[in-house]
Amino acid sequence: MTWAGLGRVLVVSLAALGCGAAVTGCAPRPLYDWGRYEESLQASYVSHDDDQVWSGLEATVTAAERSRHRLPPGACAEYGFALYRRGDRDRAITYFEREAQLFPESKPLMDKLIAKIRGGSSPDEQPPDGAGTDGEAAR
Amino acid sequence: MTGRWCIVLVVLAIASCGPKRHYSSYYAHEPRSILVVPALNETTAVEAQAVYMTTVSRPLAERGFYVFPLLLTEALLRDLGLPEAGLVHEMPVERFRDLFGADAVLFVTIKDWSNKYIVVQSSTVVKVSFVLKDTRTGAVLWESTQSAARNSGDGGGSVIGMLIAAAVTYAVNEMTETDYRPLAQQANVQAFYVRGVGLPAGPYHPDFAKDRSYYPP
Repeated sequence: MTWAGLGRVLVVSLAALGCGAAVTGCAPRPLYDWGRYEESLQASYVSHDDDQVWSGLEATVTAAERSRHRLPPGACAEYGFALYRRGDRDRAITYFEREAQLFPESKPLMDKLIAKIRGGSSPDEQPPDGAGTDGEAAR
Repeated sequence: MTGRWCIVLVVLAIASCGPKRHYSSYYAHEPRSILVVPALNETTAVEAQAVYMTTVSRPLAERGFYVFPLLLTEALLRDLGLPEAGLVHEMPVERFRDLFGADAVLFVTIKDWSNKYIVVQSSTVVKVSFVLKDTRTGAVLWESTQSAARNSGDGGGSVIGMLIAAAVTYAVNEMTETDYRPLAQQANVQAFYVRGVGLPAGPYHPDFAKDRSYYPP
């Protein structure tokens, strides 16, 4: 590194200190075991590789089940949705229920998806009137 | 020094230099769950939205919030006839409570996602703005704008070295799509985690409700 480079680092550090901006960074111990969850997101958004989306989600969920790690928010729900898309309705419901158990904040949405699967329609299908409201979700 | 060139991560701590924040609106509608809707891309970089979306769940969840599953969210929105971020951002926020049961919605706008050349140096910049809204009232709970930049090094002082450094940087940028990802991640960390201006810890974080002195009402 040259002196100019060092100088730049110093200026930036001083600027940060001057602002009193203590960048605390990520928590030292993560709350969740992310496994290959982010890889799945990248496969879906960037490389559009459905097989990798699936394998990443499956690996994340099964690894956490084996080691009793904490699954991050959304992992079970995404896995359930992937299962549904593969035609496995029963296991899709199991994982939607699991998401609602781990994170009660997701219960209104998970219940809605489960009701749709049981009613024979696709979870991402909206009622024709587009209302999409039920008392439970509004709570 | 030798031909080594360094990458300097420059934290543009502009937002964190502002006046002290108050969190009265935040505490009045303190969210447990956050729905991240597709980011609005105001840049000409077509891949920006997709790459950005892969970076946001983790830091937000690690801050202690329930973050709704992104892929499922997008599928549900698409089925509602909302395939584009622009339409989603214009939707009345109360609808997100009806549809998802979310306490709050995070609207992300990508302001800059570019690689600029200044003489022989290049600077990669990601600038993102965040607005968190309560789904009951539509009130703004928190907002932030963050930039993260990475400059190519000076290549050791000689003109040849500088040219090589710029060429290498260019090649790296051309080759990897993931180049912007660390900058997007950095912008998120700056936004969510900087004490006093970021997000107070959410309900799954051990600091939940204990960090109010840093985030005054």
